[in-house]
Amino acid sequence: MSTVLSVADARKSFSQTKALDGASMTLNKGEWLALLGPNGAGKTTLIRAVTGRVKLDAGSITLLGQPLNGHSIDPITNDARKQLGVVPQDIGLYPLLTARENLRAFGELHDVSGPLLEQRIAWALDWTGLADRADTLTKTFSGGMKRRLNIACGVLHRPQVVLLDEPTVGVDPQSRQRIWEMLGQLRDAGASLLLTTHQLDEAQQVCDRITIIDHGKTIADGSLAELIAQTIGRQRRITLTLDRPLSGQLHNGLTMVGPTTASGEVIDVASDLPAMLDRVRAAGARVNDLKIEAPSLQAVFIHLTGRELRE
Amino acid sequence: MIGTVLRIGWLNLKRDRVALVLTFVLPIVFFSIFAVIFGGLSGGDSMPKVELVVVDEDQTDASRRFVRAIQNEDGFKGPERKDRHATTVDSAEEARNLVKEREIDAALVIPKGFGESFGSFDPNAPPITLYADDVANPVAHQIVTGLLQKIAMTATPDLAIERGIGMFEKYAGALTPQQRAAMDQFLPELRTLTSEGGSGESRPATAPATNAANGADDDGPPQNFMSPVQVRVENVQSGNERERKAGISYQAAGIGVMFLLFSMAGAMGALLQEASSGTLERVLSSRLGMTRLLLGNWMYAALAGFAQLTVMFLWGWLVFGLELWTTTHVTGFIAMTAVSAAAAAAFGLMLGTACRSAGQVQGISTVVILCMSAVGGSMIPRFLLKQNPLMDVAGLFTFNGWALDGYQKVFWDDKPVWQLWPQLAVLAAMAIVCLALARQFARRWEAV
Repeated sequence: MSTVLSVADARKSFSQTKALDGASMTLNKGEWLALLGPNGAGKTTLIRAVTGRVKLDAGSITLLGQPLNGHSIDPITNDARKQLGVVPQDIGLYPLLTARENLRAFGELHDVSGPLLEQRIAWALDWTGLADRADTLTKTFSGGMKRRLNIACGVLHRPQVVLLDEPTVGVDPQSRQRIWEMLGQLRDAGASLLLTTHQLDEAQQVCDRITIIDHGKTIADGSLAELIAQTIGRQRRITLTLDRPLSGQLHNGLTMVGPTTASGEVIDVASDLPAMLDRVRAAGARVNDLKIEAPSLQAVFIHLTGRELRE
Repeated sequence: MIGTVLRIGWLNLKRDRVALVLTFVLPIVFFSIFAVIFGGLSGGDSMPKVELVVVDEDQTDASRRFVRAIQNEDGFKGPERKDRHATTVDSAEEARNLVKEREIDAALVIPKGFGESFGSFDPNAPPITLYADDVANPVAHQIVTGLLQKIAMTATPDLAIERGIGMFEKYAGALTPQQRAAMDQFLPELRTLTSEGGSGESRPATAPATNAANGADDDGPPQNFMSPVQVRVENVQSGNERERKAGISYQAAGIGVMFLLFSMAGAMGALLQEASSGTLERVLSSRLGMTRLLLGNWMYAALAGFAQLTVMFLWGWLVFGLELWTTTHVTGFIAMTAVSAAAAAAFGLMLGTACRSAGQVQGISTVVILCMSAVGGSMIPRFLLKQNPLMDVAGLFTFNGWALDGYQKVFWDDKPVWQLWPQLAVLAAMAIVCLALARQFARRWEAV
């Protein structure tokens, strides 16, 4: 799998604050990468560095084989940037323009024009489900509609690499679902997606790989399974609800955590769970309910970044 | 609870510096500007002087004494900065041209026969011609006329009394021998006294105020009967209607330029809204670039400003009869409007890039534009501002001042477009400076 975007040892300071302190990441062709980190970890600075809005103090960025350092950071002069689509976290639309007019404006700003632009606008309106609102002022749109249009304006020029900063923040579950479907279609069309999000459950579901940065450094990188294996392990948590209270320690790691609730961890569900249920039965209780929890990205994230609040 | 609301209001005001300036500083600045302008008109040493030249066609003892008294009058000054008093020129034509060219506020031509009839209170006496430009300085002719009556009564009282007695005897009967003897004794003393004491300007004027402003281009007999001197006012502009239209063009330009500046500042405030909404970030991530973004915004604003001023002048033409459709006016209007709009748009762009929020643009632009408009002539006529040396100089640093001077040349003086070069050059220079500053300020939005 070829690399389309790579950042190596990126360093950037604002006054005394180190926003990036050696962050690195790679994005492969056709891949869906989640860039995660607590607030202030350096995600936005890293994305802005890729888009040419932040000049690194040190380190390198390579986009589609072209280095983006020094003068080549300029979006106008660097051809590789034509293949970059940016979807900002803020709704970067013109509120007094209609959906169609916004699409046309951003298409033209990305050098798309003529019949091709009209064709792309029609595609985008259909893609976002806004065809029937194409000529409505954007300011009258709901949050979800604005989000969808926000994404469409960033990809109208069909970039190979798309950067999405919190693409689903502040929208209802239906719109969020629609947005994930839209992004899935983009990936199916061959685009590589880098997204930042705090929706860890969704990132866990859709992303091929995860990079976690904190304090400006990359602290973990890999698939969810790899991260779990590297951090909290692959154990499943078993929670049993019993029909009567049991006292004391049950064997093999099964512990009463409530009057009628027992909990424990297993590595191989198929072989370990029947033995666990047999022990409960032997203790004189019946199991009313059973829950198996796989290790989550949330758990990995907290494990790596701690529970301390970030500002 | 009301106390809480009061405290919240105070804290909001205290922490909003722009609001504080608008609340407390702007009124003081405005008060000061108006006090300097109008306070200077209230009298005393700071009373505005009328720039005046005199032509003596009569060359009699009476006319020479009268001219000398005019030259001694502190209310007049000559056309040159060094001239502290009115000066003389040789011909009426030269004097008239000086007024028409706005080198001076007014000119007096003392006609042949003046000495003969001076002080006779005869309405058919040859009148002094007063050339004035009611558009450039609508009060000059009134000041001059009033001061002439004062001079007539105080500078040559012996002549005034002698001729007045003559008129009295003509209509009311001869003086008695005792009265004649008393007058014969008094008049030489009075003549000696006034020739020693100059114009006698320190004495209060006793003559009735005469309204000689009896209409521009009124060639009929003077109406100021019972005045010691007859004055015929001639407006060097071509007529009342023209004067009215010129006044309308002044208002169109004055108000138009002020609102042009407000519009441009508002348009550039949108740039800051785009910055705060994230639109600017997205636009700058495209292939547009900051320089082209600024140029695009500037060109849009300049075109909008051009349209705004055009609509204003078209309205003036349609509703108020402003003279627009002559070759001189149209070409001058296009040149002035293009450059004014370009300069105002650049000014707005500079404000937009210098300020940190749309609210800041609104507040600062309100302060700056109102001050420029007050000093530059959009609120107070330029002729009044030019009376005050401080305001005269301050006006040179405003868009309004240069723009209004240019429009004035077009619509009042009928100057061809090439004679507008000082105004066009200065406004273009202002535009370039503002654009350069805007580009510099906009660096904060570029890659950091």
